[in-house]
Amino acid sequence: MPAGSSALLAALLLLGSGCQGYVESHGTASGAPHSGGGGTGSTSNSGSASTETTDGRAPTSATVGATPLRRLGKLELGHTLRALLPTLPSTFDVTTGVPDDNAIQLAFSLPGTVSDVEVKRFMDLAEASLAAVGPGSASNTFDCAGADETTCARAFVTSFGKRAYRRPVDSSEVDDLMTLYQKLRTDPDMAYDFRGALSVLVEAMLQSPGFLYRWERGLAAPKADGPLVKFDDYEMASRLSYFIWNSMPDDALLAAADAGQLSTPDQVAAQAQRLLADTRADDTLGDFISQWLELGPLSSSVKDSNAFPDFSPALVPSMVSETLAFTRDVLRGSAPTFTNLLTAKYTFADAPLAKYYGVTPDGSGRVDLSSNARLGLLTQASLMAVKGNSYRTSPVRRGKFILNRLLCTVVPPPPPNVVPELPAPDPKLTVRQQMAEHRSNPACAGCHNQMDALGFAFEHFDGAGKYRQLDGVNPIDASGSTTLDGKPISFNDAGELAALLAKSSEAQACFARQWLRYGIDRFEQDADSAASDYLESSYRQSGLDTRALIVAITRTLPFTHRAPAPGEVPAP
Amino acid sequence: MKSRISRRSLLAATGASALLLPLLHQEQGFGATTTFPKRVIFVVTGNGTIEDSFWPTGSDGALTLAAISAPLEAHKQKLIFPKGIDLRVWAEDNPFGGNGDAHHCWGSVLTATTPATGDPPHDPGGPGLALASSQSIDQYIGQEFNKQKALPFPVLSVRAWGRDGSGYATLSWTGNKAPFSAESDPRKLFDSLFAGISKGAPDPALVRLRKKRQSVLDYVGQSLERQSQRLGTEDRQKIQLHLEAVRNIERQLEGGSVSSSCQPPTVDAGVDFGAIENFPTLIESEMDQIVAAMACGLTRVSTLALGDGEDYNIFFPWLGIPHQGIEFPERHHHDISHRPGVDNVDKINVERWYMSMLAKLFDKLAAVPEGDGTMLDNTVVMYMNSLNSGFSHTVLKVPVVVGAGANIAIKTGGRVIELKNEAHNTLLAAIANAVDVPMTAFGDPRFPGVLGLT
Repeated sequence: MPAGSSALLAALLLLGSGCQGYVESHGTASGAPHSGGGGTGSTSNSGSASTETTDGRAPTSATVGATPLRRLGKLELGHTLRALLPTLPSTFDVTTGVPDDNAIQLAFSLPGTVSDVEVKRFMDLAEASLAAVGPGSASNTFDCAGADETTCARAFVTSFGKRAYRRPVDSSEVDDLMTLYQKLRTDPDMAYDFRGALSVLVEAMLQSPGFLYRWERGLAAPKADGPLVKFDDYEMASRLSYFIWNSMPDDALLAAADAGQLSTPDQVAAQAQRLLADTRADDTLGDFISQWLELGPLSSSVKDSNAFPDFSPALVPSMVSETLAFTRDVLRGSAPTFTNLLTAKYTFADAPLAKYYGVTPDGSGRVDLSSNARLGLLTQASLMAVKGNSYRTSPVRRGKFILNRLLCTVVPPPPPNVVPELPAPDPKLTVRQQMAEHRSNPACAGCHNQMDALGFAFEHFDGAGKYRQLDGVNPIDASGSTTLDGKPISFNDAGELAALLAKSSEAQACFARQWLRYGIDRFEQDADSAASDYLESSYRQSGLDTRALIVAITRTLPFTHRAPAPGEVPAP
Repeated sequence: MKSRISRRSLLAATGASALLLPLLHQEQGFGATTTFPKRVIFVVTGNGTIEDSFWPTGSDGALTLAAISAPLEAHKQKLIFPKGIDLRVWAEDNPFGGNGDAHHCWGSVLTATTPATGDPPHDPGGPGLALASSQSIDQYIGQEFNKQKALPFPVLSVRAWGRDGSGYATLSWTGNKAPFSAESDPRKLFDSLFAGISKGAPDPALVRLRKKRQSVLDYVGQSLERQSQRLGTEDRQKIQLHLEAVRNIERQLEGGSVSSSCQPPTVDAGVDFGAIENFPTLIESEMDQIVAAMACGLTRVSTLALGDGEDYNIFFPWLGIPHQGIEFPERHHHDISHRPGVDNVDKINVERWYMSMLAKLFDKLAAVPEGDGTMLDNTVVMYMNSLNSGFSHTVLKVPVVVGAGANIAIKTGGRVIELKNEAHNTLLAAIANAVDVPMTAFGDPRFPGVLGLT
């Protein structure tokens, strides 16, 4: 049964149980939620013909979603600055003052629009960066080769500008920068010397839209390809590097763009392989998992020292390291699968975390978990703690997390006029017992039956991520039952739940969709359904090979093309 | 002359780490016979109150303030308490549906319209970021004031903790899906406002820095204009926002003159504003700067956000409320507010403290002489809490305090106005009218009219 249909069934079952949630797949461009998947038009398993180009040209019947203009996000900006200004001291904080991105439910970070405060921050960052590299350093490595200063300035702008804007700089843009250069040199109140003026030109480029926005098309018209718009070679270079490195293209990628060699799926996929094999991709693998697991609030979470005497905020970096090291080991290894991410019986722990877990790592920090209740990512302290309250577990948040990020299901807010009369905590009861009203009250049960069942599976991991046998003095019941892939399932604990999720076609499909969203920086729309369905099934057919998935994404139409934007005029 | 100015010596001279340096000359004034313009300040907190401990009782002119409103005693005669203001645009219709998480209603507080649902294709369904769908009242008033006389800051938007960018946290909006971020760092706020003020001839190093920045921004603006020509309509709107922001900063850099009586406050270099223990100090510093900016003629409209609608990271150690403690639920503002019961002592103390900070704002306004009176005579302050109850999330009968001075056409005298389901649109319209920005309605056209405050 194709992935789309089982998602539809699952959504119907959710609806049937009274929880008006929906599976967040193939959302329409108009914004209406879509109850379930199901490809429109092209059949899901028809293979690559309808999901990627043929020698760079889109099939005439192809559809693809809209890709809005996007600003560089916080992580991307930091990495790009370092790549562009390699002499920036490692102690320099590249994210200082940069506005936080917005977090999108079920997807990934989204930088916001720019208002006055943000303009000031980008100005501060540009000036501080140039100050940190030292006077003239950004331009001091540029050899004028005996040319006069004006000619040299022009050559510098053309050369540095190509890297800063990730594409060749148009002659009108060079002229604008040279106008600035002349002003800096000749205005008697400014009177910058040659190298000083070039530094200011770099400051200016760092504040300009060519740098701050993903605008690698420059001043050229969008490139029509049938009814779609094709990303040109420079746009592809940046799409590849920002997906896999969260940074600007390297020289080799830019050279490939110069040579027009980022045009066909094979060419693009070959570069994707190269980028993925590079260690610069490690951060991205970690960033995906950190966002997918919603670990952001972990560093500021407050835990009650009476409830969790062994926890301290100093443990948080160890928890984060564990998740990143485990992720890197799995995704770089011989079996970079969804299954391993969820169920592998090992991890990595530094000394403080090993003590917290009560385990003994080997010389490389690796910990065998064969006779431990933990497995994979879902029971790691990082996730358990971030989805825990300050003094107890939070089965509701853990259950919601599973629904959102493992099953791509939106849980709606409580029904209108719900005013919960929450009782004071009763230490004689377990958390499950205290939340009994979630299940007995019909207004709550529709959603909470599913959410809580999933969340209670993790009850052996306290609100600060430590394993516990008992909940206070009470034995823990981590068992539950729910529906998955349209069928009833039961489990005795988190380990069994993780194994069921790993085998679930819904969960596997959701994971593929999460990677697609990460790669194309947006939700998939109805017009992307052929590609989305294809990626879900090819992920399964590859044996859930996540590295192959990353490369496969770069071949598909949502990565190489976009729908024309209303108001723009594509040219062939 | 080709001289290099060491950035380090420049920074040392100004004592600040992030400079915007408007060029502001202090005029050598001859006496103080000026008419003073009207000012408006919007102060907003979130997470509700404990109603029974907020609303005053007693008759007009002889109010008895309650436990939470008690700190306002000294300014009581200049206050009105409109009791029965509802955020109808949220109560009736919001992106979350139903009682829909009103912790996220800040996109409606000063806009009085329903936020946009979702933000396709980034967030195709569900509530999305609850981005506001229209211009907020502070921006409208600032725009109107600007037509009379352009000021460096048509709106001075400031926040103490909290976040920006979404309807969960941003009060000020220049238009549909166009958040106007607030300055949250008191030192950066100071630099934007006051760092360029000089008596006599300006420092050539500062002139050079300002001119450089203007030249750079000139180029940036040109680039933005070039870029936008090839874009689709929606993307072009984003770039337009960026371009407007660049123009705003250029205008601020241009500066102008301020009166000789302009007295910038100082910002204590030793305070760690990132520590929650210093939250009260941070708020006071921002209030001092807002008042001084108004006194110096840099702005006439300000928004001050204390936190945001959620406040998960705001704790109150100076009130003796520890971060931790086994109790239901947690000890940050959000969960303190979620506890049921009218005897929620922590919440009462927290809200009382917020009212004491509001009282300090009135104190600061009253301490600036203007003509025969003070700045308070020429100012209206509107305080609103975006929720009535953090426990139930209701946005009906939200706490509101309006404080106005003698020259503002609002009849104060210390009174409670009993209202029934009055849409807050009419309150915002009344505030605008009170500062001579006429209107018969504001925001969602379903809720026209002007609340009678005169």
